[in-house]
Amino acid sequence: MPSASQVRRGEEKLGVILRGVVLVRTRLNRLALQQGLFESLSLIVGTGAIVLLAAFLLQPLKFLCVAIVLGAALMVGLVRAIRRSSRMRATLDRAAAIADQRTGLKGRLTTVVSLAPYATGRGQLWPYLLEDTLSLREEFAPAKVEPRRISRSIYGLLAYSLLAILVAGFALMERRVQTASKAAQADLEVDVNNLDVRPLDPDLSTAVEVSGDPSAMRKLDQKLARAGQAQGESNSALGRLMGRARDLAGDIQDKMTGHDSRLRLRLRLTDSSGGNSGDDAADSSHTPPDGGAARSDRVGDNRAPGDSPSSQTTSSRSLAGAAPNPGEPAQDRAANNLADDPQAQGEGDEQGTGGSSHGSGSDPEHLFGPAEEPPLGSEGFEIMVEARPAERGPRGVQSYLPPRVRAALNPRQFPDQPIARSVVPDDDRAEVKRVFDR
Amino acid sequence: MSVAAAFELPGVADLVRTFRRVQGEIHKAIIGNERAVEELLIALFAGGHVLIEGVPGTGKTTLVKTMGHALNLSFNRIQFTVDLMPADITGTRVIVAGDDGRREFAFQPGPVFCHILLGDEINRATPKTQSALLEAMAELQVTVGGATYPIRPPYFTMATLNPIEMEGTYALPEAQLDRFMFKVSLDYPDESGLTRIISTTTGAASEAIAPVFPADEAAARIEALKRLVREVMVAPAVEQFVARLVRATQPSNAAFMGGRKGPVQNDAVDRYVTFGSSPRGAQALILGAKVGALLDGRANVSLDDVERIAPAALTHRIMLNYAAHADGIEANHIIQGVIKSVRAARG
Repeated sequence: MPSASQVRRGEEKLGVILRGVVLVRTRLNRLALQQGLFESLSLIVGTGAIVLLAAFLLQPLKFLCVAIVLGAALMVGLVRAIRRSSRMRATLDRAAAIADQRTGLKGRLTTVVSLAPYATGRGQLWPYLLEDTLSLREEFAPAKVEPRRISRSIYGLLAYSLLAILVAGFALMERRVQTASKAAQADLEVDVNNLDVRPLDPDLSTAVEVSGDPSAMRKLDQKLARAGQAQGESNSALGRLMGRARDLAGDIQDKMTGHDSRLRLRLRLTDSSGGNSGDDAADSSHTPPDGGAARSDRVGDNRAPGDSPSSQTTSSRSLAGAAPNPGEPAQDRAANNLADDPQAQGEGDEQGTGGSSHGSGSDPEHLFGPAEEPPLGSEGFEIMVEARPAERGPRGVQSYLPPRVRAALNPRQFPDQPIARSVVPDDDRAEVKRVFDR
Repeated sequence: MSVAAAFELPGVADLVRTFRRVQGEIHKAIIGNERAVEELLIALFAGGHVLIEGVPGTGKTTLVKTMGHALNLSFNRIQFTVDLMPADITGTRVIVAGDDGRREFAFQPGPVFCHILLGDEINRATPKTQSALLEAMAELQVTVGGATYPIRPPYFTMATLNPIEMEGTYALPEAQLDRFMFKVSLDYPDESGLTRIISTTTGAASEAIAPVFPADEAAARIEALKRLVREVMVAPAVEQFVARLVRATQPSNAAFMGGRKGPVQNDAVDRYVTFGSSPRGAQALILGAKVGALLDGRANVSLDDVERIAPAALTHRIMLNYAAHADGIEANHIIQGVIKSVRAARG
């Protein structure tokens, strides 16, 4: 039977051993916590960087898909990281087992820790085990069991942080470019009679805010109603869903990129016919049945003299996403437009296809107006050209479609300058009109 | 990496010293087979019995006799033959004349009443005779004619088996096999070992085996060391490891398992094993590991101790099926696979 002093000494030795194991456990748990934290942060930072990059580079629907997939992957990754971290968390028994394994103590610590609470399970060799284990306490010092103080997962966090910094730099640069181009934008003006309402290209994020005089807006309403009716016939629930998804993705992208795609273009409508519904009827004949969003044709030209945009603007609306789904192919639509619209037939190749132009018009009836400042900025103005050579070819033949490019000007080139409308002397008007008539 | 013990307890040191001395004495007569000799002694100090398997001439009988001499314990040998009767082993009641001239039945103890019993070629006796050893091995007692006679400890049975000469033999019943703590194989010696055997055993002088203990205290000393072995501590994690190991030797579709599957499954076990180790296998593992721990100067059992002892403790407890025999699979391969599986499952 051991004496009281022997028991006390034994308990003291046990206390020293247990304190050593607690230190080991603390270090192991710190590492586990670090690993969970670093891995979670790595996942969040990395996913955020990729989503931000996707917001700049991808179309809304693709961006939405990528964001959803990455979000799901992030959730799964976070759960796994937390679970892995919690699995790494060491109890006193586990810390003792790890120390035994890493230092070759052959189960001494595990036995001491697991039998410490049970005095009956110790037996007569218990003092021997304590003394033996205590004599080896340098072997299970925390630094020897686990030399690392910082988890290796910090390297992953650093790598993802670097990626995030690069993406943030890219985003900052893009925002500056967009801010500069937005500042250079100005209003466009277009005659509602020449407005061709067609389905919006789903991949185009361009949206238009429209304002104009009441008669022009009324005509626009009628056009939209007809287009909407046709749209309603052909539009499916899936299409509506896609449209909503696209809008949602666009909103998110706008918030992330700081780019307001819905208000990129402000369109001022005029009505050259002064509210004559006959034009409206004519317009309806060349509006495609599946049309949706407004697309400006011959923007900036054919404005009647004296029409002051500011004085006529009484209402405005945004057409973004009014009817986004395309119906028939664009080539067929364009061909129909050309066939149905006599005005378009007489105005060159590009007029029936919905391209934009600016500067002096080609309509002899509207040649002479008051002089004005160039309506558009010279630096940030974008020209969107939809060239479709297939319209002249046989139907069904896919012709080459030139890609949209934006090339930088070389030092000897100058930005496109719109031609300002200027006053033509009365003596020269007859001659100018004769040239245009010819 | 392992760390040597830095502290010595007299009991532990005594066991280690005794063990090494007996080992040394045995190796005066037995060349090679160090592992087998060590396992034999581990079984002795753990209180188990050993089945020794080896081809003729590998020194099975010599090994056991040498050990008996080295330990200075009473030693008996039974040559098992097909006509051997149980009474030839356990003893029987015979009519003896008393001092007053009356004749009465008296129990005449058989060779089983000793400290070390060598059952030579145990598989040559009938199962009935083989079973005569069961009670002695498990309970250290013999029941004859309604009377029970205890055997004085320590009692250590060593039975030899000849694995190649199977004609006229009777395979040991599973119950009997299970009573043996270890099955030790004596390998055929290599060339250098054979040379040493020739030189040491064919000369005029043979090296004398010196007893490690005085005859009058040998039994008590060995019993004390056996009690010390029982004091070695086992962590719950090690016990769980042993339980898993033994449970993993059972195929998942084994009978008598109640449809319960163990936490560790092994394809080789399912394919080749008819029935795995009994709980006695787990006891043998722990006891053998305890001796191993003491020999290493530790008062606790480690997983390494268990793994080291597992082949000797489990090999004879696993019943292989015909597919295993057809594919040339041995029980030792199965044990190694099971150890790996349990290790992997433990992480």
